[in-house]
Amino acid sequence: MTFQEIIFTLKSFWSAKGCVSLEPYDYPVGAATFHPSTFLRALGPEPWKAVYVQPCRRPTDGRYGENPNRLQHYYQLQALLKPSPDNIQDLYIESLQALGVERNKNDIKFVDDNWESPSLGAAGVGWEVWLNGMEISQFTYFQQVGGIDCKPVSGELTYGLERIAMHLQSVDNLYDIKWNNDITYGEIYLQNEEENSKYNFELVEPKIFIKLFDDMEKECINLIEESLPIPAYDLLLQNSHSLNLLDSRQAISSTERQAYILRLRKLSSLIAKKYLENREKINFPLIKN
Amino acid sequence: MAKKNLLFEIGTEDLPSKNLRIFSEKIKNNIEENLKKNGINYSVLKNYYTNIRLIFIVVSIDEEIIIEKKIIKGPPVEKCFDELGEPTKTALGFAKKYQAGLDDLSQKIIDNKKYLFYEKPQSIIKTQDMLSKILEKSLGDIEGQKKMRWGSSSILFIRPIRWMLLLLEDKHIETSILGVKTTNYTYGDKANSNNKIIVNSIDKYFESLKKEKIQIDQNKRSDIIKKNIATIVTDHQYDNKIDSELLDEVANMAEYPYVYTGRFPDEYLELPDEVLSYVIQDTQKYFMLYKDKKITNSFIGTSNVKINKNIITGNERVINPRLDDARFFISKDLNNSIFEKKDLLKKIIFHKKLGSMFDKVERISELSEYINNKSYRDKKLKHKEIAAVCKLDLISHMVVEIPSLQGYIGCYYAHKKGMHEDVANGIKEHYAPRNPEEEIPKSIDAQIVSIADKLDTIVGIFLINEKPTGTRDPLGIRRATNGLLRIMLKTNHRIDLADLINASYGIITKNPNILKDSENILPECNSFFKEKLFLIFKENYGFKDNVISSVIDNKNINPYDMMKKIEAIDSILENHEYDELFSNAKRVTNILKKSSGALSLNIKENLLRESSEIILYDTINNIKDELNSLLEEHSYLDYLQKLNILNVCVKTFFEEVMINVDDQDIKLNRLSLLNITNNYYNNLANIAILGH
Repeated sequence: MTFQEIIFTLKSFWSAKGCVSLEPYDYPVGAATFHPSTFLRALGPEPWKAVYVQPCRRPTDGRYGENPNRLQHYYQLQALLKPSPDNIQDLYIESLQALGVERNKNDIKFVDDNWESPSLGAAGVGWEVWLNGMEISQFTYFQQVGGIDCKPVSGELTYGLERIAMHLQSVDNLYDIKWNNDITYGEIYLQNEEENSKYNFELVEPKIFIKLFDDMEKECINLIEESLPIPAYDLLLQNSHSLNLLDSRQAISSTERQAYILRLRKLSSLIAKKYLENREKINFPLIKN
Repeated sequence: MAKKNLLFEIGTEDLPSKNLRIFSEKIKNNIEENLKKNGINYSVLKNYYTNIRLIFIVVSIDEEIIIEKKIIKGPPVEKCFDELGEPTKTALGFAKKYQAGLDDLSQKIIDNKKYLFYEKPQSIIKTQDMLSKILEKSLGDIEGQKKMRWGSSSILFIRPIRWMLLLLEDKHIETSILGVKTTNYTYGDKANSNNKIIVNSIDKYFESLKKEKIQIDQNKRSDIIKKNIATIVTDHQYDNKIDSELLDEVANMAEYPYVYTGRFPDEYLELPDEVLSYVIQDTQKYFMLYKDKKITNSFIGTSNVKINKNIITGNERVINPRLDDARFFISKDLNNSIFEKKDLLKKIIFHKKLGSMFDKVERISELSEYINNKSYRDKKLKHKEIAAVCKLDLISHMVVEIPSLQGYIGCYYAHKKGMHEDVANGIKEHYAPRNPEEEIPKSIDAQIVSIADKLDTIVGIFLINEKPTGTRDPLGIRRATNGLLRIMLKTNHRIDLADLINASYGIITKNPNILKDSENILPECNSFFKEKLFLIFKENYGFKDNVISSVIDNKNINPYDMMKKIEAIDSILENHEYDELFSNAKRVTNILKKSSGALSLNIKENLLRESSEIILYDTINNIKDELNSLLEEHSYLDYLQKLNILNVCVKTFFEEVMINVDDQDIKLNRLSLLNITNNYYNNLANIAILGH
């Protein structure tokens, strides 16, 4: 199964289970959880089911294209089910079977791994899913988002697409993954990894991003005061990425980093609160019947 | 009475494997306690678990409990009826409380007063009607375990509950526990069939699970893995060494474990052992295989399903990039010469109120030098060199990535850079002992740095008033304290901990940027260490409370010396030849306690009248030089032996000499003589508290 077929299969699998099929978010993010379809929609009482692919940027994970298993830009596919259905684990296994992963021929383990995102004020309980020892998914029950308790609880299933493709195609190096039958992952992204690793580790100009962070934070607070949490959230995403760049460039100490994270956390709490208020004002329209 | 077996199975999504045993035991204890509280008898409660099941079997449980008839005394009759003979509120209230009619009540005279009585008849309650409440309470009261919510429900449990099977022998008990309806079915092996299986008896339950090849007994699952490993080990002549903690953990990740051997390219064996074990064992949960105590490129993994080639190659595919990543970091670090970048430590905060790691290193260095000056004055010791580089691996990529490798990685890099052997090992050893199993540092140099590092952390935390509370101990003060004391107990650094605390305090507070939250922490800090020492002497060494107290009450805190004293006292404690020594010491102390007025250490010889006080005085004078030198040489048993000579003189003194005489000068002189005697008793320890 090619990389693109994996995406098609999972998207149609979850669409058939009632998920809205969405597209990637157009801001840089470190994980699919940052997509507003997860962060914002997980808040409040409204039900929500969505599936989407999200390209993710993690500057510190760059390896100049030299490591067979690590990338600073990669893809996650995410299904968010709110409230989490009772058979969510079975559905997940079923989705793997749709990819041709036979349950009784592969060792699938759910390894205890509680998730926390300090900058999003979010925490969840869940697992890493291991397929023959390789972590291919994160499975999380959100307990808190933006500092607010989740009621109902969302179940988040995040697939590491490259890892799954490596397994299905039996390749040892992710650059050898067949994107389709003619072209490999490496042919599309190797140069991207080389150039971005060089930039992230060596050439990021800290001054720019430190100033950008301050400016965006101000703008973000203004927007929250204007009761516009959705655009405010975009600016938070921008700041989260700036922080990641400062981090990969080793431009800030661990204390400074901690202080930046606290600033993000403050913003995300304010945004979550405001978003919930706005939804309440329009009577939580997704609650039907 | 009829006895039956009870089966309670909670089906969940995968449970955390590390805490599973503790978690199951806690529920088991709760059920036992709640059954007892309700007077329900049973013979034994067994608990089993797998990654998705918590199973409790109560063997021979009472089917019903009989509440015996009971006679209840009520209010006095005079208050129960009015003038017209109508029952009052008092009487009606009493009857209502026990759901009795007025006719059911009787009257009886006690001590010339008439009272109402109710004879509550025997009643029978079915156990099955009480189960829901008992089990719900047992599942709810679990401390120290992170719980979660799921879906739209507000139930809190460790992981989502998917079914709850409740059987009393061959009968399903329909009820609801924690808001979950009990079922008459279980599930088969998730990995293979995922069948819903209706079970109508406990026998059928075991039969079905056996057919599904599920091993619910955790110990048997561990044994399966152990046996398989043993075969591999013998066949290929690996060292016989299995990590038992990992064994339990992986046994808890399966319903039935299968075992395989995997390999990785041997080029990675050049990585430091700690890196290999971190990747292989800690993250991937494989058993490492050793030959002649050296890590080999083979490992043993466990699987939930029967082994096929894909499972093995899949696992091998994971481990390579992880090891490759470690190699990437190490080569980056080695090119980066971390040992020349001390200033980068300024960027790493030790604690926001106690400065950076750079500041800490300076303090460690100064305190190490203090220890050396006090105890050794040895210019050849490498403690300064170790102190200077001991924290530098914190700036390395490898340690930033895997913090638990601190020390090990620095040691590895230092060897690669050709640093002096003692310095390189000192980087690793100054963290020791990291846990109760680990040895203390081998070299004196590393011991000094380790003491300095740990003490700096502890005194610092007292200064900023962030002592550990409950489970919160972010800087690992408890571990540091135990480690520090273990070093000081085993090595003779001839240094008093109270002085050392003082010195550390001086060094920390010299920096004007450090804000003190607590004034006068020294006494508090000293008693903290004394309490810890007490516990160690008691729990780790098994010494008696009073023996420990006799030494700890002393104002000095020299753990090594305390140990020697305790050993000396302990060795004669049961020896009757010394009974009199302890009781004399007690008697002398008591007399001195009662006496008022200033005691002196000067004896006026001309005031010594009785022969027995002269003998005591002379004997002390005869042995005092020897006593003092024995104390100096830390020959404590010899000291006690010598002291034992005084017994006869002290005894005769008490028999023949009056202390409370009218002549105040003579009285004072006699008390002073006892005071001198007492000093010799006390010089070693407060042995008076050992007397009977």
